[in-house]
Amino acid sequence: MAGYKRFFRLGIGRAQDLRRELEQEIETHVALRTDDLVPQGMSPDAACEEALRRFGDLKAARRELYASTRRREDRLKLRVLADDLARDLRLALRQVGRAPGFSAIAIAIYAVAIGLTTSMFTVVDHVLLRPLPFPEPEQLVALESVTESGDAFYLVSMANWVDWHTRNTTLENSAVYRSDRMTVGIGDEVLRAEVATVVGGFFETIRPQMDTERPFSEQESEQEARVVVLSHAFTQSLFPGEPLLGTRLSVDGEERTVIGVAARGAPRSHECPTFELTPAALAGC
Amino acid sequence: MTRSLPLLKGTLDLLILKALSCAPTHGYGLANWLERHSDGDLVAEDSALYQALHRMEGRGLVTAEWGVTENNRKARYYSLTPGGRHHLESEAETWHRYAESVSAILAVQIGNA
Repeated sequence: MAGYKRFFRLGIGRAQDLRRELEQEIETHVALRTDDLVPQGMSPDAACEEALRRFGDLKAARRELYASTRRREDRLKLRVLADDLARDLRLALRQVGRAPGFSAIAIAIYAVAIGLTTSMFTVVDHVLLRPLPFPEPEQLVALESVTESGDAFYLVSMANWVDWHTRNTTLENSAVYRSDRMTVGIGDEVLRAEVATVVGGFFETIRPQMDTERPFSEQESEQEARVVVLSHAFTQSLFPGEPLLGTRLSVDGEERTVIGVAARGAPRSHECPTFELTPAALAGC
Repeated sequence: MTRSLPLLKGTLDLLILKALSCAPTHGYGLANWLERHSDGDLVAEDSALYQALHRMEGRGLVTAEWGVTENNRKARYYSLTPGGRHHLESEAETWHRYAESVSAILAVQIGNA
């Protein structure tokens, strides 16, 4: 049965064949009429001319007939395709019905395999394929402390980091941050928010895109400037559309001034909504 | 020739279906058949005939295949599909009722109205 339909699929013409068949049909028509007119006493030339006249506007007819033929063939192709699909589906369902146990196992294996592949790809996509949302992400490295026993962890004592920072000869810049939930007060609003306290040239290192103004500089860090940069998500969820630049707010009771808002997609270390500049005393530099 | 009538819109399809219900034929055969059976009263432009044929082929009312004429010319032979036959029956019925109604109205005698 399958062979039967496939055989007929060969019958569907390509554009070129359609045109040729159409020409053949018109030619036959004119020839047949000419054949009939000649015995009535017309010269072959006059008969042919008369046959053409009776056919009508040849150009327009060609154009319209060709267009309608194309439409018909397209529909036919679609129908054959739909038939094929339906047949394959029926076959598949019949086989599932014939061996339900085997089918269930096969489907389960497929499901698990697709699930695994998808989650694997999600990880690979995020970790390897999608670049970090900073300029020159390939230049960024994460530093970790390694103990004498060989354990590594992303923690560093302030003193150690100061050593790394001052004696470093390979890296252009370095910074540390620490993320905590803190009490943030803006006007009448008081809320708990994730705040990253950053030390050193944090913004010079990761260079996030800013919505407004600027990130703070290493210099400000050293000068103990009491300033914060808000994340895009933080301002959008709490104060959409409001100009927050220059606003004073408190972080754990300490007065701070907003000097910038990071752009969407700019870094949010552990989803921290604000970056607070740490006092230089803590930074130790 | 001078007395031939222009075809009313929509009647060509019906006439073609009727012709094909007698015997499958090619486009020229159809043109001839129509001329012969209307005593030359009904004449359609040949190109209109083909447009109607192709249109009905698209709607699945007729189907076509290549064949050879008596004098050995390759021609496309059209024949009715079951759907085409059904369409012919219902359209013929409609046409009869329509023609009767129009005739009846035209036959109304002035003064009786």
